[in-house]
Amino acid sequence: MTNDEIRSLSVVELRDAIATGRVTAEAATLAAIEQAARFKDSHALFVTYTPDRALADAQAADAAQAAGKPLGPLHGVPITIKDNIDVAGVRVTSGSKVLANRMATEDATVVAKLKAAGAIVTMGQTNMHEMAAGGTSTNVHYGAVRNPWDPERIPGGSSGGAAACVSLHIGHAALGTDAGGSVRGPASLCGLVGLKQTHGLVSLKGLVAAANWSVDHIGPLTRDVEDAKLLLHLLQGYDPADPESNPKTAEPHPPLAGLKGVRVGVPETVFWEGLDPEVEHTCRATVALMAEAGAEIVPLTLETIGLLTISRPASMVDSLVFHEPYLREHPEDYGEELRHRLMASQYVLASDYVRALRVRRLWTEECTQVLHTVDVMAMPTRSAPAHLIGDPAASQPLSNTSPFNQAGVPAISLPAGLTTGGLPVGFQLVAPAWQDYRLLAIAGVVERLIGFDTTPPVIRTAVAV
Amino acid sequence: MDLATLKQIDALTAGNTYDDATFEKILPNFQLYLEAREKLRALPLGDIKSAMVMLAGGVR
Repeated sequence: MTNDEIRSLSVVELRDAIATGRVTAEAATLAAIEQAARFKDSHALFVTYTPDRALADAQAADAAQAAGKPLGPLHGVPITIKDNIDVAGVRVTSGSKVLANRMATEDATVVAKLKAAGAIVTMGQTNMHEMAAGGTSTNVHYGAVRNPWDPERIPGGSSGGAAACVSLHIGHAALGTDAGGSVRGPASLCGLVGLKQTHGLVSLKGLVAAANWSVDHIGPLTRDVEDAKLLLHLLQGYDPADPESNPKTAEPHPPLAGLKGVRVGVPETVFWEGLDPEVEHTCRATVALMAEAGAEIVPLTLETIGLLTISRPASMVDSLVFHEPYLREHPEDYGEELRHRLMASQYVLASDYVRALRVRRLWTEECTQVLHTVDVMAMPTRSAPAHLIGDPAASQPLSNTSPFNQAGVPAISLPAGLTTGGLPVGFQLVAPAWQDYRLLAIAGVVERLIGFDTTPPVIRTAVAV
Repeated sequence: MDLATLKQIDALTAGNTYDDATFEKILPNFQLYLEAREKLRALPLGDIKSAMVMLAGGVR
């Protein structure tokens, strides 16, 4: 198998190829390293890059296999880790200068789980928006991450490096984090699958949680729904070390052949307003495909979603306590945008903060109730395709993703098609809490209906050879 | 809201005494808060039936 062929395999396909001896972990890792050498500097993909470490881990995985030791479900599969998730012995900065010398002393629970499953997670820490506090991944300290579909454009954020790596076939999946859309947004703009599961289903221990951990998630970016399902299955589980972790488990769900009997809510309020025309056309066409496959389309009107836009005081203050000491001692170590936003949050009154929390609560209640009347809600993931790097409009509000962080419910972004300019458009499905596997089953059907090729043109020629 | 008022608020609360150039860059962000605050304060949030504040995802 050529390196291009190895790189084009999904997680499941590579896992099976390694288990049956058609590919070694070392060959898979070398293929990823070869691709990283091609793109990591031009696309600013990594904050810390450790290929030698990954290679050593891959050789150890091959030795274990040769010795007849039992193989984990991800044995030898290279998976990249976002720079705000701890990997023991590796520099983890959260894309910041203030934490530039921070060495992780132990693995995040999710990293430990991936290692236990045999994955190679030590290629490096992927670049991101500074402190996960934005949606462009234009990082003033480590470079502007570039979109594989158009290098003049953002990949989205904050997990921009993670998405760009998976898209460019550097690793077969990535871990990102999502406190407002930071997995789903980059997945949308880079033509990938991005999953934010029910809050509390996957441990946050080892996440550099600068903001509000009650809305944060560690989730997978993958090239297909099946890989997202496998990764969720391996990452989930109660972790007593994380107070946000929940002993409840998501209910298993078998794959679906079609969508007969599936109720799809289409919330016209806010989520389908102010869209780029091509985004709207692509996503409405996807809803039509779902209807043709048997789904019942249910128009929804939401009363409280509009209020979320004024809950800004809460999001301003959430991360202040984390940053305050650094902000006082080394304000110059922050990018200007984040620095002045944080400084302004010092003047928010506690009573306004609590008002904002109450608004969030109103939305959470309505969202929960509405989701009990349908199987999923459907909408575009982002209101526009990828903006040019440096375009002020690139910092568009995450109004279609962050509401579901507030509500804690599972949501997935799927690639729905391309604009006439060749930019990916993401389609989001949202399900009731703990229905993650039903959500994935429905997403799997939609994925088949769309039939999107996740390979960007820059590497498509090589893959086709 | 002008620069002088923001500086006054700082003096009464956080006491950072930044230079004027810094305050000028903080000001637009503070304005966003003021705009949201006005709308928030217009809502009857004190007497809603579910005023209890829980963790997001508190549907457990």
